[in-house]
Amino acid sequence: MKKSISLFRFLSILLALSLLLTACAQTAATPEATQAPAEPGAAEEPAAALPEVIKIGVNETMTGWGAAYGDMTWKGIQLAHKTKPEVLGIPVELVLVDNKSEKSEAALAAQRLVEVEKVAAVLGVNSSSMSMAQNEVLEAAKVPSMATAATNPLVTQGKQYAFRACFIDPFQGKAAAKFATEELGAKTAVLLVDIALDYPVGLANYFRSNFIEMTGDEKSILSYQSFQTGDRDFTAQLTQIKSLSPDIVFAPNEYAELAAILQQAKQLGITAKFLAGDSADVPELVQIAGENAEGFMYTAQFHPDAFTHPEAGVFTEAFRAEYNIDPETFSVTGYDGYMLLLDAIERAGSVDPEKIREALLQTSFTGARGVTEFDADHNGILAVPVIEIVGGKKTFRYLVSPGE
Amino acid sequence: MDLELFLQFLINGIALGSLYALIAIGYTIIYGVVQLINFAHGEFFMVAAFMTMWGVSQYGIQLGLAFPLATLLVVGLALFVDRSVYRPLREQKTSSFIGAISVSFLLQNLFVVLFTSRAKPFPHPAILDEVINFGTIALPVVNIFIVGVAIVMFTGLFLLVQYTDMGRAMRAISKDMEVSQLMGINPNRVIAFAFIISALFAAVGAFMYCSKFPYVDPFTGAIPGLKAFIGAVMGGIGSIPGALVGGFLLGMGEIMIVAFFPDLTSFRDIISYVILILFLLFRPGGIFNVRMREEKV
Repeated sequence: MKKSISLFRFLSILLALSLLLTACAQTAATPEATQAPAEPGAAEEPAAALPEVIKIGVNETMTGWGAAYGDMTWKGIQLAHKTKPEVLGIPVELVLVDNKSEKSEAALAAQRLVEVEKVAAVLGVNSSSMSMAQNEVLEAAKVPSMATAATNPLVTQGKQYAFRACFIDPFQGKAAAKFATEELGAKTAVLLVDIALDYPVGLANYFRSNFIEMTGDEKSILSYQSFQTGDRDFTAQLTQIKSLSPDIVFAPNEYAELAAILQQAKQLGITAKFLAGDSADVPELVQIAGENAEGFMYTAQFHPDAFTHPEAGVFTEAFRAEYNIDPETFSVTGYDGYMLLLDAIERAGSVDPEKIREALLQTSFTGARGVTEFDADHNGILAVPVIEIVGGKKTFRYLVSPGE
Repeated sequence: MDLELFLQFLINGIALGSLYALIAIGYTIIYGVVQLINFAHGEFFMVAAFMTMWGVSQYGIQLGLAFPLATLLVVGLALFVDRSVYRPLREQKTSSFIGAISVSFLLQNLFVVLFTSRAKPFPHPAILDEVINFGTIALPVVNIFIVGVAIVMFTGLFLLVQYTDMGRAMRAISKDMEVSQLMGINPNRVIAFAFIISALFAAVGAFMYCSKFPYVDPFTGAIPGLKAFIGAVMGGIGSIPGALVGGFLLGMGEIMIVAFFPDLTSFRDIISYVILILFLLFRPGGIFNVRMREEKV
């Protein structure tokens, strides 16, 4: 009896401790969240009445497998908020909610932002799967949303209030195929895909159809090799790939898995070029893969050398000054996403969701990636830079402009 | 398939199989003495890898020192978990099982909160990145190390179990706990010893695994832990040769499925789980047909 009591005590102490730690992490991440309470019901009043503070919800992957992406996105959003802390003369307050990189949590987070925080609009998520879960809730509540780096077409398709601050995978896949065939002169390719996630599967399919079309050869995709999230041994798939000797291996997977793939490919002596999508744009990839990342290439949302208009330079300099690192795909979509929302609120002259939505439709805003407009499905019309790792550094290699 | 390609698959399979076997030993040793499936074993594995990485990257400790320190820490953690969670629940099988799952999730989430879940490079000796080439066949040096370390660990364990008093006590307890107690064996000491051995295997397995697949995050232990558990059941959980053979066959099988049936690659995990269920249904004692003491009437 005594023993079980002490065990319960021990377990409850542990539980209390872990809850406390979670709480600390949460408050540390949202310094703004404790500021002045917003006027409840302010948004429902006539458009002329503006609230004392404009709340923008941020639904991001701060913990869980997507923590690296969430952290980088949040950095971009914070910088944008620091650069432009108010709109219509009213201070903007960011309300960050962690969705733990889970779809169900992303929907719950969206619900909390709408019902408890009464936000005017929501920024995020960087992930397609989670943005889709979030947007179901926001669409029903008629709250405008701006997904950051979520590139799957379904995120905004058929939605009234959902927009995104990035290009989508049909175009990214096309850009990768164009780069592979025109710049690298590739005639054959193999796909190596994590089939447990929406993003790699979707992007690989767009690459495949475009690659076949551009090479004009039905058989130019030699093989489709698959694995599942959490796998780390790719030697079997890579041995198959080696025996096929393709020109290109298209592997649009998560950064850590990509690092393991690159290392094992180098060990097996594979000479084919490896190409991936914008989920590779994480500094840890080069840290983990080291020399094995040499010559690795991927399509991204941003590279400081890819865009020459002044806004790109302003953003890059501000980002470097703030964080002492270079901006990448996730921080740029967070930054631009915030700026696009504020631009729309400014032109709407109101936080009425209907007015913000109408203003968003008319967007022509010069952000870090140049003039940004939305297509009929609310997707950003933006260029795709291709990055190559040279001497351990991300080097700008090629640019595919929209419409190409 | 030509011979060279087959040999390449074989090299890959031997390395992965040896890794699973190393981890599977941890499950089987604990099950052998207490009939507990220690679901936190994968997390002991993760903690060892994580603490090694943390010591090197945050405190600049030499790898040669950081790894033994991390190993000590994991041994301490295993003893602590046994003493504070498993021992009070020893008599209640279902509660111990739930306790083990809770410890597993608790450690995973604790590490996410403390260290975030960003994957970090795992520090390892540069020699392990080298590759020896025989024509078109590549033999990574890390594979040689994995197999060598596994052989040394297995031999050590075999000698320990066969020829030391503690080993004899472990075998006695796994046969019959009450009678062993009557013979003067203190089961709690033996069980604690089993946890020390299993933690050692977790730490060494983690070092080899993360040297081959060079990054670590709080979920690092989850998948290899699960795979090794399947291997242990296939071989016959509770049996040391069973874990060795089961783990090895599972790793080899995962590679050979891709080698011979590339179209079935996506079904690889499904096949593993189906095999697990088939074993549980039709041959619960595994390949070695282990009979645990509960089954005797």
